[in-house]
Order: sequence, then C-alpha cells, then structure tokens
Amino acid sequence: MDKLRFIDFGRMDVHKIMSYNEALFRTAEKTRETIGFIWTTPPAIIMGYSQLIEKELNLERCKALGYKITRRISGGGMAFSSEGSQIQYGYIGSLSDLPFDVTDSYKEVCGIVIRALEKYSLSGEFKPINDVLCNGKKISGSAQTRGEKVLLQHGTLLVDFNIKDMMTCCNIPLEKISDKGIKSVEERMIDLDRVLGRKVPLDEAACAMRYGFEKNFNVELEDSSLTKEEEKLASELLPKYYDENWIFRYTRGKTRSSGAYPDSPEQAEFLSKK
Amino acid sequence: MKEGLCKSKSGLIRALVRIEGGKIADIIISGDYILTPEHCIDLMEKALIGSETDREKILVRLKEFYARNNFQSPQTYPEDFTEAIIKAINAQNG
Repeated sequence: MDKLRFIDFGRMDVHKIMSYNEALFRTAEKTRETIGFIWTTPPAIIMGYSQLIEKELNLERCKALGYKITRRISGGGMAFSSEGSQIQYGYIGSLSDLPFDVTDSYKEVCGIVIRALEKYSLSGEFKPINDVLCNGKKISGSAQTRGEKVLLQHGTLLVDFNIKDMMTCCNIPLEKISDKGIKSVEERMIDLDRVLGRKVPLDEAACAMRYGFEKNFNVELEDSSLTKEEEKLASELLPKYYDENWIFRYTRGKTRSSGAYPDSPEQAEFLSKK
Repeated sequence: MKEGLCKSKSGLIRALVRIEGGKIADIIISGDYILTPEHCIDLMEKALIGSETDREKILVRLKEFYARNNFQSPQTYPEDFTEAIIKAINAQNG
C-alpha cells in the first residue's frame, strides 16, 4: 500500500498554520510531494483571497469576541472557526494525479470528509462545487488553489459550530441575530455534535479524518513534521499573515490594482514566465 | 468606489469601480466566488482598467481575458463579472 506523508499540527495559531499551508504548497510545487495534514485553531476567521473584509465582517464585534483574522491564498468564502468547532484539513496533491476540472478535483479530495463521516456510520454527499452535506445540510466546506504542479485544498469538518458567534462577527444587523435567524442557518448547516446527538471530542474527530485520508486515497499514513526547509520558508511567510496590507488588502485606501500589496509570488512567477 | 453585486453559481461577485473620463480608472473584483489560480483575479482587474463603460465593451474584454489566460472559474462566467461591474457603474452614474 502506498504511503502518504501526514502531519497532525494539533492546535495552532491561525497565522502560523496559514504560513505552514503556504510553505508546504510552495515546497511541493518543487518536489511534487503529496501531503495530508490536519489542525485546529483558537477562535479565528480566515478570509478568502478576494473577499473584502470590511464588507463581510464587523471588526469591532470580532475583536470583542476574541477572533483573530487573516487571509489565505485560496479563494472562496470565509472559514469561520469558533473554539473547538472543527477539524481543519489540508491536502496537497499532484495535478497530474487529480482531475483537471476544478469541481471534479474538489469532489475527489472532498472524499476525505465523506470517508471520515463513514467512521460514524454517516453518509456524506458531495455538493458541487466545494461542499459536503450530511443529512442534506452542509457539514464541510473547502477551498483550493493551484500551482503549476500541485494543488492545495484545505477545508473543514464541523464538530460543534457556533452559529451565533459567526452571525455576530458577520456584517449583519444585530437584530437579525435572533433565535429565528440562528434557526434559519441551522436549517442549512450541521455539525457532528448535532447529527450524532452527543459531544464529539476533537481528537476523536481528528482520528476520523485520519481514517478519511487513508480510505479516500487507499494509503497508509506516515506521520511526519515539517522539514527544516519548510520551517524556514514558513518563518519567511509568517509576517505576511499578520500584515494588514495582506489581510486588508483592498480596504485601507488603496486597491490591489494600485498597489495595496506587492504582487503575490504566484503573480510575480507568472509574469516572469511571460 | 461604487459597488455592484452579482450572485454567480460559485459565489457572490462584489465589484467596486471608479470611473474617470468615461473609462474604468480603478476596479476591485471581490467576493467568495471560485476562480483559480487566484492571481488571475489581479490580472483580470488590471485588464479592465481603461475599459469603456458600456456592457458590450466590458464583456468583450472579459471574454478575451478568459480566452488568453489559463484559469478555471467553475459556473462563473464573463457575463457574471460584467453584470456586477455594470451595476457598480450604474451606481456611480446615479
């Protein structure tokens, strides 16, 4: 059976884990290594590449509730992580081994979560483009970015999601954060605690995700940690994830079109090849 | 900058546009839609600067951009971006 390099980062600061995600992705662009990893964070919000933070979030409420905010290199919507709410995962795979079509590749990698749900005798269903449903409700969302050789897909398996905190942090009027408003979200989202009717420990959900990786790719996990080179690259990338010019790149008086943040490394690489 | 929204099948497109002299002087195409590799969004914004502001001219630029660049935006099309941009332009024009 093939082996898959696997890292369980445990509980990590959101800025740091985003630098690890990017370091692993950039290194794999050179090595084409396939890697799986999981982590949890203290309360945090990870914005998608293109989202306007000040349109999406109420920053005062986020701060009052203790949520740290950063931006990731992949697109899509925000990843909202309240305390103990979820296991987050990453998968880096070679583009030559995965479907070219983005939706098809999401489906293949989202199989990790569907297999993890099987551990609980639950049936997961891929919902294009990038969600997994359980009992018809969203239990997992994912985001993906692609280099020239590999893709990085990262996402979540919800365990005990705090809908009220999410609504409070979003830029919506407080009067909408009522029992009715929360119920409306509950009709579309679900988590392991609610579907199983018991408190699911995070380490148990992490074990289910390990199972999901093994079964989805028919591999044996080989526990690993960052190499010195990956650590070095991550430490070089870390300041970016605290940098307001990256996090608020659109909304501090400049726009990306007029130099809110230096061109991304991907863009610089892309343009140098033209 | 004035805002225009369009809900594409992969997510919301939120365009912010500033017009000067009848042309797009600055533009932000934000939102939670899916387009990868993501740096192509930066390139798309740059490709739209200087465009005239009528729907057809913007759509032609975006279709050319789609044809020239190697990216995927599942279930999100030049027409969706055009719709958001036109709404932002209309908002600026009052």
